[in-house]
Amino acid sequence: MTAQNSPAHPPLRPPTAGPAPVLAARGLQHAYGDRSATTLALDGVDLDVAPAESLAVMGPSGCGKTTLLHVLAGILRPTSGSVLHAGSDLSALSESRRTRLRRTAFGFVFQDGRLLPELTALENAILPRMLGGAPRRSASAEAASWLDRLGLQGLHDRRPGQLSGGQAQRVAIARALGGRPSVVFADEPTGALDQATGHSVLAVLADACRDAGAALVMVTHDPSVASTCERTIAMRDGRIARQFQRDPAQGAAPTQQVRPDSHQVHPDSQQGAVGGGRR
Amino acid sequence: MSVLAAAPLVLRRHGGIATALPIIGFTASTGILATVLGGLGAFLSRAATVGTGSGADGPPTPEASNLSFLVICAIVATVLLVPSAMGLGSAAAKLSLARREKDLAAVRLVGGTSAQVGALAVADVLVQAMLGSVLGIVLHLAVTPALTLLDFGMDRFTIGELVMPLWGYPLLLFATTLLAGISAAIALAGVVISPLGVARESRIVRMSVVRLVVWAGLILAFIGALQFLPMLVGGVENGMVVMIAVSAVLMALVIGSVNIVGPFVVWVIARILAALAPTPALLVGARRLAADPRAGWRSVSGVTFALVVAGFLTLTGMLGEQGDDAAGRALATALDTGGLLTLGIAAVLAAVSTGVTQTARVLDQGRVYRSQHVAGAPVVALQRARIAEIGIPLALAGMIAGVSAAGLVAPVISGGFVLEAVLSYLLAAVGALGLVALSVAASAPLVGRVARAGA
Repeated sequence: MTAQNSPAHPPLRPPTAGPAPVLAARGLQHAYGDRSATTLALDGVDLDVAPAESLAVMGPSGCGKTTLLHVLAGILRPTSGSVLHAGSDLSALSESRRTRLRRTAFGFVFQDGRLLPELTALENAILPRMLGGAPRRSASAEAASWLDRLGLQGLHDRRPGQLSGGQAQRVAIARALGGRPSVVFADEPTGALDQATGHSVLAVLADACRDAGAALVMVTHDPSVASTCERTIAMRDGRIARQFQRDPAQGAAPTQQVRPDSHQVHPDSQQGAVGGGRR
Repeated sequence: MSVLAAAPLVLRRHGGIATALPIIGFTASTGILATVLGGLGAFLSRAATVGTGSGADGPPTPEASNLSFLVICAIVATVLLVPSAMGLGSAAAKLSLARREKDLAAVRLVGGTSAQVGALAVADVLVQAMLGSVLGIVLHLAVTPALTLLDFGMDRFTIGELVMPLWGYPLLLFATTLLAGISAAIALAGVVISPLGVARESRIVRMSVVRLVVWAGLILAFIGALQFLPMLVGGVENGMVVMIAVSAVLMALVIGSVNIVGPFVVWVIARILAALAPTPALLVGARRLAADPRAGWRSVSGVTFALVVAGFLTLTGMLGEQGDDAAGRALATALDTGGLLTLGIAAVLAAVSTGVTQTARVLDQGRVYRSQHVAGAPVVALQRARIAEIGIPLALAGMIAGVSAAGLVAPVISGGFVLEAVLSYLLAAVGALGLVALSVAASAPLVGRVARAGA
């Protein structure tokens, strides 16, 4: 797993040393606005996400962290650069194929859950599997098992409005994992919760992703939330400014600081992308 | 600067479809009200001018002998159309309010009290209602010359007869605007506008079976009234007038009660379908209906109304076939024209109300569509859920409207006319389905645009 912005800095870990990344971003740039007023939200980001890794993306408002999440998830097509998942460049896929990929390979947990208010907890959780063509009966059995594991026994028939914030987020986690994703994207998943509930939900999210073998990419502005992840990248002005690797014994500690100008790397110079260096 | 003084800044028009929808609703509502009331006035003034065929100078003209019956038909058409047109105005007011929720929350954030925000919201609706009503009156005046070409089996109406008296327009403007204000105030009672946004009353919806009982009871009362009233009022002076008045009131109640029983039936069926739904589209569509059956019913209520009118028209069509003399033929012409005109206006009402409510629902659910699409739901699946959400109440509306119309027609229908009535009704039902399919197709691109917003 690597985050790098410079040819001068070798990958933190050679590609052969670990499993191939589940997501690999190279030279990501994304601009908003038109020619008269352009804002560069991503300015040359390179990033690998390993299978089952938990990664926090931090930074001040407007630094590009949510844009990075949206580009990695195939919601936004980058202005330039590539995101590789299972050998496919997301930016080269059609809109419908990216949508299918989000349904089958990715899961999402939003700040406010974004559950369908009319559906019960169980029905919300089975929706991705049903959209993928699974029969209702089998999707229900699987989702019910996830809900139970997340501590929601006896609440399957409740609507989101009848659940607490923490319970609703657990339903959102069950929904995200119900489609058996390889990556779960979480955008400020505890932003709407009190601290105690937030920590509980975070623990559930991290454990559930690990159990499911899914990588977790989580955007947050809260260092205590980020510290629950194995790795944290700090963004500034659309670039990865620093990254930290969690030391289980001592908590988070910086393992590499990237030079501010180091984003100007040509993607071709990067090795270690998905599948042993392919782009 | 007081909060109300800041209103023009906060409630600046956003432009686009969101602002246009309520105004379109108010325009159609007022335009139809003015045209229907003007038409009723035309029949009344013609009856006063020509008389009703009881003069002493020879046999009455066909026009004179038919006019009293045509006046009754015009009153019936007015009874059929006015409540629905007023309902469209009320829906437009609620829609206008819904479009403004974020702005109103912003006013609360900058220090506005609940009362000030409420006044602001109602004032905003009043402005839109007034603008739409003025446009509606202009529309009515614009189409009136075309209405002079209609053949009611007598001397054609002039523009002067078909327009309302001058004093009627400011009165109509005042009434439609007031109705919109009252509707907005009632709708406001169901929401809490806080500085952080708008919270709706969220409770589990339960519908009472009393709704079904009321509807069935009113149909039976109507059938009973037509059977027994002639005997009861036979010897009474002006007995016919009493009978027609009672029948008209009961008929209006039967038509109105369709909107009472409709949400109940939608609620029951949607819950059953949601529990059994094998596809995500049916699951989502049925659950949305079960959560808010009134809104689901409202989205097709215009079509339901058109279907009831279509069913009722089979009655007037059959009455028109009686008599081969000049008066009989004139009456048949008048009833055909009047029936088609009523159905046409009902169809316009249905098209506008279905189009407005469908587009509004897409805009209201934009955030949900967006998050579903982000999570991998293809736009086509969102469309299917919407079709299920419309299709279920539409199918039920067809059945309820059919039974209601049959109840209205049953007292006078004879066996030979049954097939003709069923065929006429099926034809109208196909037309209504086409109308809804058109409105769904028209708002389909909006679903994709809303779902992909920002992507």
